[in-house]
Amino acid sequence: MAAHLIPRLLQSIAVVFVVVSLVFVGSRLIGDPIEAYAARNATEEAIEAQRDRLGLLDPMIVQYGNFLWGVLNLDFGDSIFSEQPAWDEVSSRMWATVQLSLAAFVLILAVGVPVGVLAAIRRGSIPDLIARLFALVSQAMPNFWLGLVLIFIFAVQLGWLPTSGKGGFENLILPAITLAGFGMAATMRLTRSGMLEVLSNDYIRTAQAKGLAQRTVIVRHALRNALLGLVTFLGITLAQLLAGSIIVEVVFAWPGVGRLIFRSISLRDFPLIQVGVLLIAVWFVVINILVDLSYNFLDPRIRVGSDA
Amino acid sequence: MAESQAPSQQVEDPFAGRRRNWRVRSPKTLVATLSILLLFIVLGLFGPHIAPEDPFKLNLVGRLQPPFFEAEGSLDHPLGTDDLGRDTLSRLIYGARISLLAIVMVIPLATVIGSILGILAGWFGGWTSRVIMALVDLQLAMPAILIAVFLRAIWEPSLSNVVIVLVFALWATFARLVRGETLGLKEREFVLAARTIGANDLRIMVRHVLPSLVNSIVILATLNVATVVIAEAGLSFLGVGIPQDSISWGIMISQGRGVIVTAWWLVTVPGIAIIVVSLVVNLFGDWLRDFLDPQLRNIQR
Repeated sequence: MAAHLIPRLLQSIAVVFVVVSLVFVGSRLIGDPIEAYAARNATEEAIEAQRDRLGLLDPMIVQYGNFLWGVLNLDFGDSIFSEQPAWDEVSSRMWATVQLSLAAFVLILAVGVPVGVLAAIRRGSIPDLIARLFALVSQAMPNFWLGLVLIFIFAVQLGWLPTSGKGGFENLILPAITLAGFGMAATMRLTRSGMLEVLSNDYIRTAQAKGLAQRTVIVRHALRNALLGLVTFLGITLAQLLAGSIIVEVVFAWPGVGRLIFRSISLRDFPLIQVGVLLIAVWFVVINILVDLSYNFLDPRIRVGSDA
Repeated sequence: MAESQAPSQQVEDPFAGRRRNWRVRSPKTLVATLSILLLFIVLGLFGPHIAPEDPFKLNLVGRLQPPFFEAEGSLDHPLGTDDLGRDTLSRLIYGARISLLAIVMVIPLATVIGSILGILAGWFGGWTSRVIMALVDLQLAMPAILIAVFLRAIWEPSLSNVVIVLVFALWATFARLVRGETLGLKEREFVLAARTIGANDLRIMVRHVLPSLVNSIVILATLNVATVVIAEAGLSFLGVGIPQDSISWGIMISQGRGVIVTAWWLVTVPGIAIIVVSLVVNLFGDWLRDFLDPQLRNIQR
């Protein structure tokens, strides 16, 4: 397996490297951070001195070299705005984002899969119809809008949950539902169609014929195979949750990486942008590798790394 | 992944008991779907001639009027007014235009770019494929929203920023699908036959492979339309889409956000418009998929 994994890892590192380089170029394109911060009466010399201190006067290639060397040492320089080390700034918010994404992912699994299974085995019934209508609407709904409506109903009108910010468990509920909405619907639809396909196989009839309990047939024989087709999708979903969390974090004032990056770009805070985007890219790449590996556990017939 | 097994419609249900088959898709829903789609397109094209009022006209006396079905509402402003007294219905109608423009510009570009790269990757394999698939990976690792924020920092907000961001976000799904299908088609007899009689690569790709791909490409394009509508609204909502003084459903939601407690309709109405349009486009896409090629049920947004 290691032989398959190594090229995969190299490719992943290449992707991360290109993303990091693009971010470096992009963050230089968005303009001079000093102009955004310098006091209006700052002298020309003071501004130059600041630029010098941040290394902005070095040739681009030197800045790039310094930047890459810093990446290897997890040293991304200090945030221009807060003057704290950028890595600390971002990593202290990473947990909030991971928490939100994982909560949403758990919701997606806990709701999407069982409802999908139920809809498949009761195909054509009213619960199935309701589940499918629900999925159709959820997939058509912008998540930031869902967030606002949930805030309006549950925080403003009913006063059950806080409107925004981070605190206890109750602060997590609305953002997690908002972030999970689309994924839940898509997972439910995929589980349903996957189950319907699997249930038509001969081995399901065999399992029923030999008198196994329906529960066993559904869970052990059908669901396990249906899940196989879901793994790639769930992996992509998990990776996209992090990107999707940016807008949800903005709506709910959730103190995560997404909101930090969003703010940093308008403040032209290069070091923070670079760390934030790097973390998102690494997260994606790691998940992709995990998805590939999980095939091995679910289906021994598939070899990781086989060029498909 | 696109090659799937038998379509579920014909699958025998081993758990079938007594039941009535409730369907979401029926000829009736198809007619309703098409009518709403048509309405959306007409509003997008002719909105300025249809809208009852100038959507920019301020009316500070008639601020925050509720929709007609509420006690204080009136039919002068059927969907109420915003905090500057502007007519919500007229703004909604104008907003359809931006959504339609985004669709018309993004979908063809993403489809063509993605399909060309996908067919090249599938046909030539090797390094061509490796480089193109690396680009696909790269796209997935760079959330579109971040690109949008970067572009916003470099350029003034505009529709072209939105188009660039969304084309960038969507081409990869086309490339993946087309590459996968091209790989399968490459081994088919009619392609081998074309090669045997001496057709060159370009000719085979255009005349023999591409026609077999058209159905899947059209289906995927349809299924991406809703994504464009929702994403444009999201970008504009965040202030990294089209200019804040123009009218888009996303901008309407973001402006209504501040007064959501007193004026629920300002957030709700444009949101429902987005949902309805996305919903009917998705239904149409599902229907088109079943109609064109039931084998392709697994194409996902």
